[in-house]
Amino acid sequence: MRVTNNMIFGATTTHARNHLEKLFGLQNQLATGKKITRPSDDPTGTDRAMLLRGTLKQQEQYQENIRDASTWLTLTDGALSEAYSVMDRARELAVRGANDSNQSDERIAMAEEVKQLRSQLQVIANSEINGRFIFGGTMTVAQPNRTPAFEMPYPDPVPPATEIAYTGNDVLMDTEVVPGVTLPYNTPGASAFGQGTDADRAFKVLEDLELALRNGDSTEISQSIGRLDVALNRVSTERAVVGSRINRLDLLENRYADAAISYKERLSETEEPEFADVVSQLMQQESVYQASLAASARIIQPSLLDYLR
Amino acid sequence: MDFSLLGINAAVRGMTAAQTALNTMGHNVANANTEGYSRQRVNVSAASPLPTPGFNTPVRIASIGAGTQVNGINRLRDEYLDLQVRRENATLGANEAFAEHVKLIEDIFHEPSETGLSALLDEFFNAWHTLTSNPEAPGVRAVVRDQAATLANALNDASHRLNTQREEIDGQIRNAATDINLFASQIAQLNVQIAEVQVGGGSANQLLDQRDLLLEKMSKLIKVQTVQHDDGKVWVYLHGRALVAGNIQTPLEVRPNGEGAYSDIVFDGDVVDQKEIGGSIGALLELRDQIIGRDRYRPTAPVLPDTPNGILHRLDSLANQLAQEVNALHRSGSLTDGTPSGRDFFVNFRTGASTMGAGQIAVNPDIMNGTAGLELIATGGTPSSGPGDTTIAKAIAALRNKATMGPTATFEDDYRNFLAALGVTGQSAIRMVKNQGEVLNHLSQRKEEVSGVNMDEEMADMVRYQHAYQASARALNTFDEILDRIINGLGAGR
Repeated sequence: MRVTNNMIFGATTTHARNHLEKLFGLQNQLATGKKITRPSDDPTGTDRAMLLRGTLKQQEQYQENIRDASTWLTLTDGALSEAYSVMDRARELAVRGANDSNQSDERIAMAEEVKQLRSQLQVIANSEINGRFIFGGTMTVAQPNRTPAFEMPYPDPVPPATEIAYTGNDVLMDTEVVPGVTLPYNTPGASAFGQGTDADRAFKVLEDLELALRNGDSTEISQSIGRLDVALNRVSTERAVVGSRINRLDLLENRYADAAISYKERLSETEEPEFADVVSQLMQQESVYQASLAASARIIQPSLLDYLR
Repeated sequence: MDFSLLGINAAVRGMTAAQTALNTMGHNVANANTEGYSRQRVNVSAASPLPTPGFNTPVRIASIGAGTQVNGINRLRDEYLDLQVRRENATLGANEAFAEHVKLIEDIFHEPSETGLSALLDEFFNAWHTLTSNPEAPGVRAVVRDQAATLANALNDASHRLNTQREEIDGQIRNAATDINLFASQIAQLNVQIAEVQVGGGSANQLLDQRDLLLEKMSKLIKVQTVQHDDGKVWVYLHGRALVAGNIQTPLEVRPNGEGAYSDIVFDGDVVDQKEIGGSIGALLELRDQIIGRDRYRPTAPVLPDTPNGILHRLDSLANQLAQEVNALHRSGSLTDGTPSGRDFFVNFRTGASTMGAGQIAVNPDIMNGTAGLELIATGGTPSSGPGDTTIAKAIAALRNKATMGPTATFEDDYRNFLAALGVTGQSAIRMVKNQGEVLNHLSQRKEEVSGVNMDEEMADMVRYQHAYQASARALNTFDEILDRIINGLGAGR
């Protein structure tokens, strides 16, 4: 093979360029922490990275949906539990008041307490989270258990139950927690506290009980114990529903948290270089580069001219 | 024995030959780094000997050499390697253009990353999701509006940059056509000059080198075939038709095409196809008209057929489909106060048409209008059950997983698909550039092996011819002494 000076110079620059290009690529990988910076680096890897990142983003959103719903449900659970104790206290009073041995002034005192309990229940039934009323169905912006004359939070004097109108609706609000799967998170006031003018609607029962206590009507008081049981039952049923929803969301959230870890791992496997690998490649490439430069330097220098004469 | 001044002639010829060789050596060394230069060698042969009669017979029994003679100066070149280089060059040119422009397109989309279009699509749908949990909150509505506006802006920007890139590519095509015409006219001129020199029996080394260099440069821009004729002229063909026929050149014309702002290359009356023309021009045409493709929403566009696989088309389809799906839901929805919306969420901000490409999509200006606009984002179904009704917001958020772009493809699937296809094109172009670069590197090394100048050789030649010159001069000296003896030292004349 005939070798010319241009070939040597050409090879020197080509090789130096190639080595530098590889070094630059490795340096880039280390500096950016990415081995794929554009689709043509690795079309399949790009596709997978984009898919994984999209899935992660979506799952983060589902986690957020779950957290929002959980907050709502936890608050609902607390409110229902309070409502239960309020009504349970009323039942206690009713049981006591039903006993004929009670003096009428004791019954009056009980009636006063029941009246306050009813007011408290109204406050509970108008609970809100971030300005959204939780027991109003989709009527979230106005108090769902309202009395026209008295505005919440503490109506005084306590209005009659007939005036406490339920202005919410029965619509369940749900949120998407898995693609295509939604989970309802609200409890319409009607299902927790009873409908319109039903005798066992919580507000109505408490008002009837109050009246019966004032009148010393033992039969009526005893009857209201039964109605209170129905109302209490309704609240505990709703609490059970809420509890099961919270459990389901907890399970989902845990699953998403686990999935997020494995998705992130796969994403970094796809996108990020193996650090130790790249560093050792860098060292190797560096020494090859230096060797090639050194070799070139030795070859380029001498010519026949140096030895003539 | 005959005697003449023959010896002097031989010596002088030797000196002349040595001098010619030294001159050529100097020329070689001086042009060692000249692009396209082939080293030259002096073609020397022994001069025809004089017939010498013998003592007793007129029949030639021996011949005395008359020295050397210079027949010409040849360039050392393997024409076959040139043909190979020209053939491979077109492929390299094409793939270099592909690799360069695919990279630029990839830069526009900037994927995979946390900031590309796919991330913005995710954020857009996420914002609607968040709205389903808080339809009454103005802050969350503002996030939906901002994310939508960001997405629309990113689509506008991508469309704008793709169109700009097409314009740049078009400029490159026009420049390349100009270059080719220039090369072709120079080749035609050189053809004439070379033929003239060769008819006179001379060697047109420099002119041949120049012509080969022009052909090599041209072969990167388009796929050329060359035929060498006996008169020294080279005919250059493009897809079977003569671009240079001896000294006649048929120029490529640049003519505006149906798209108005863009150009066709016309050769010999016909618009050339990108496959026929090949080389980097072919690749640029393919990039402009197929890979990026035409923007069918541009006012000047619809004259030419649509390019359904072009990136602009895919991006436009994505933007349009997104707008149509979101709008259909949004129009059917109702506002927080229960009034039906009837309003589009996305609009074509250029023409107001109901369809829109990536370059025209924008959030409805009514919605963009301050705090009042936020209330115009529809979240509930019709009829609405209350302010907390999020039927429509949920449906829009669920578009993310809906097969809107085909039997199974969601928006993001579609976007990923066309980016992956682009990546494959880019990857194969980059690979081809590497491989083809190797092939050409190898060929040019072989060319260099034949035609390149090696300094050591030239130096050795210099020493050799210097000695030859000195020896011839010494011979002349000797003849001088002999003649001196004969002329001045002999005879009765003195």
